[in-house]
Amino acid sequence: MTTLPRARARAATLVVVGPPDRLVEAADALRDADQAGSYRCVLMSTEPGTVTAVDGSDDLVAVDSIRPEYLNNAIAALRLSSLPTVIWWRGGPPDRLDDVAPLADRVVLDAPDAGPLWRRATTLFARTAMTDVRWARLTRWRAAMAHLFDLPQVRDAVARFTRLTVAGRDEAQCALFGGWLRSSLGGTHQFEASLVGGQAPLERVTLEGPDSAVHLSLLSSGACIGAEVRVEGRTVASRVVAAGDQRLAALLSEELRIRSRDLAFERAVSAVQGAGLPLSVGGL
Amino acid sequence: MPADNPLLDNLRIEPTPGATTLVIFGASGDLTRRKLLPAIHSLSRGQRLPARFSVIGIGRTDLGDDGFRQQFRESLREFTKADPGSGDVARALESRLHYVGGDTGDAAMYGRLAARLREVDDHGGVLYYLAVPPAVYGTIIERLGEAGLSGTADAGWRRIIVEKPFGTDLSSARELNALLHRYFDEEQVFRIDHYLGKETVQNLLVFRFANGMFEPVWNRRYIDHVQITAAEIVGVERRAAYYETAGALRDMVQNHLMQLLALVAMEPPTEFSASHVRDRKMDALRSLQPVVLNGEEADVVRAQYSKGWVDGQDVPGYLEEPGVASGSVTETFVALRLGIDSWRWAGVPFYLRTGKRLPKRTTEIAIQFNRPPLEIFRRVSATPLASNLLVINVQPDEGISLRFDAKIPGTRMQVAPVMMNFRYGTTFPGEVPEAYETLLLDAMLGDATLFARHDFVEASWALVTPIHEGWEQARAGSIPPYEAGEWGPSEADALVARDGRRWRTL
Repeated sequence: MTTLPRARARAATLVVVGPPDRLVEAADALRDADQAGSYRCVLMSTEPGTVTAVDGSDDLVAVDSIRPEYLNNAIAALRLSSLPTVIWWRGGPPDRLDDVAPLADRVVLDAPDAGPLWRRATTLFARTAMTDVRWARLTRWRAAMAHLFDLPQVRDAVARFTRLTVAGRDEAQCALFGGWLRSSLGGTHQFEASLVGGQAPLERVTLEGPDSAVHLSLLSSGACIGAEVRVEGRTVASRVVAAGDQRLAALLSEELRIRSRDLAFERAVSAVQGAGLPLSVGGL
Repeated sequence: MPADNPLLDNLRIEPTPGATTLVIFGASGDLTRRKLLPAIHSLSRGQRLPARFSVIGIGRTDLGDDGFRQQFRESLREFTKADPGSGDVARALESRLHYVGGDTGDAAMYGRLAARLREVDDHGGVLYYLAVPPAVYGTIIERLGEAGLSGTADAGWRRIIVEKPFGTDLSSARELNALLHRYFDEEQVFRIDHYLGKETVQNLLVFRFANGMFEPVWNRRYIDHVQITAAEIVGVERRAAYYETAGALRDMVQNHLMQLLALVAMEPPTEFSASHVRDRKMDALRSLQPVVLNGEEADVVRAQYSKGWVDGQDVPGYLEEPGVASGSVTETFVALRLGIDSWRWAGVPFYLRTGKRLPKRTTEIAIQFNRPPLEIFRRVSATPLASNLLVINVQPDEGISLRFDAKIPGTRMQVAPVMMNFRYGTTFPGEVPEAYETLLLDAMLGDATLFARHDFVEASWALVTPIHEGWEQARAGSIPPYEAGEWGPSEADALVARDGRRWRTL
């Protein structure tokens, strides 16, 4: 029996779309996501197997074998009237995103292959607030980098940064970080992504120029990010910050807390598309 | 926060203050250990602190940097919930903790503080936190001013947080304000009232002014009366030395309850900014009618708890508590009836009550609406219908409830009151920041919306001081007792019953 945390008043609808195995994973995450309890949660798949896999529950509505062209009808029928709807897109025919996005107040993308979805997303931004779970994974990394830019030495060096290296397990994740920096700093620094092993989608980031470098790295504990600024070979500032809870449930909770359009994400995705930042191993 | 940091745009973790050194006077004290150091750690975990952030603790005990860091570790162990990453963050934060030992009255100590500030961060802002007994506020403010540490044109910003109690009566509050203003501008002064950092209190502004449906009925035409209750289960505990000089009136009414009253009674501000919100709160306070102290029309009741049962425990009376003077007439309970001279509130009483050793720990604001003009269901309902009631729970179960009448299902027409509940914990689950986190961050950001302004403090003392003076004159008299575990004395019930009303059952 799937039980969501603490039965409570429903304040919105969350529709999860994806293949059965990823919906089962979603059901587990929903059980642990502290924000999910106030959502009416609906699992939907165009393939068979979801209903039996999530084991009939009072808290989750599971529907499978929906014909792709009727996904939008099914969502429209099951959402709570007058309250917000969030779609968590964990996979499915990418072209159906065009039909379902207008039904939602917010779409959280979370498919293994980000490329086709991001291409579609850029045309949907004006209609529906969109984000990606990868963006939530970057929150602490972005904050760590942003705080270093409070330092005058780093701000002074912005124009001289020429090279950005992002290393991690997920190339879309690396590209998104690169897109964010490029769209925010407006630079034309060379971008390089390297895939590394390990569990973390992102392992380290280096932004460097001839005389200075900003370096972020996941510490060995995996729970913290070390941040450091070096000028002419000397460390001028360093700090350690929490990497945040990276479990799917925690990332989902973070996303469910936000209702508004995220312009920084939209600009980052557009930069990834526009600059042709690598999104596949072959592109590296 | 530097305006030209392009990476802060749309950052989910925001806002973040610019470079700050937090100077805590009373670094080895209870408030620092219980609240301030855990709040700093929590802000650091949430990446709400700037890259250039340091703490300088000031205390009489010569702890040294290492001793202060050790105290920080112990404080986190005792008063925070550990989570992954806490250790690394704490270790990184530790290196930013410094300590200056010395007497707060010693001018040389301020020289050492100035040197340490230059050493730690010469160009950032400095936030002083007076986590010391009120008796030394004046000395610290003077010494900071004399040492040139309250602000100069070429240095970064300088701000000062002053804990409650802010004075002990109107004249001492005025003196303290005058002293502060000799060395600090009002914009630099942050008088903290941790109630204002609570989510529900902040939500009161949102509830009233972000919704179109409540404000039209928020007035004398629809509201019968307002009750504000702040009840504690605990007794005086180890705070007898302080409480003996304060009592419930100074400890709770002058600050917390007045803030809640002002938030309920204020007119809508034209924008959500510190000055606009505080101006409107000030208007509300200025409109309060003077309190009638004695006689049959008295607006105030005081009492002191005697021994009794609370929460299944046999508890001593106030006079038997350690540190309480024999024969003390310090009040542990106060009930007040206040009127407001304004078009919105004329004729609507505000009943306030607060006390220790009451049956339940709760703080709430209850707005009771008028009955319908014609009771058409009188024939089918044996008892009078309940009035609509809006309850704003401040603590512990933060939320808002609305009571209205509904038909009981069935073939007969029967009416019963039902509650419609909104609870923060169920609708917005997740971690809610502690009040001190919110307020520390706001002070670093220079946002004074949730802090008390000098005129508000003086106006609230102007209301409370005559009450206290009246009690002082009648000191030879006795103070009514109430049994611990009861909702105050019978006189408090009579205060409300006189108007044909009664306290809400909690």
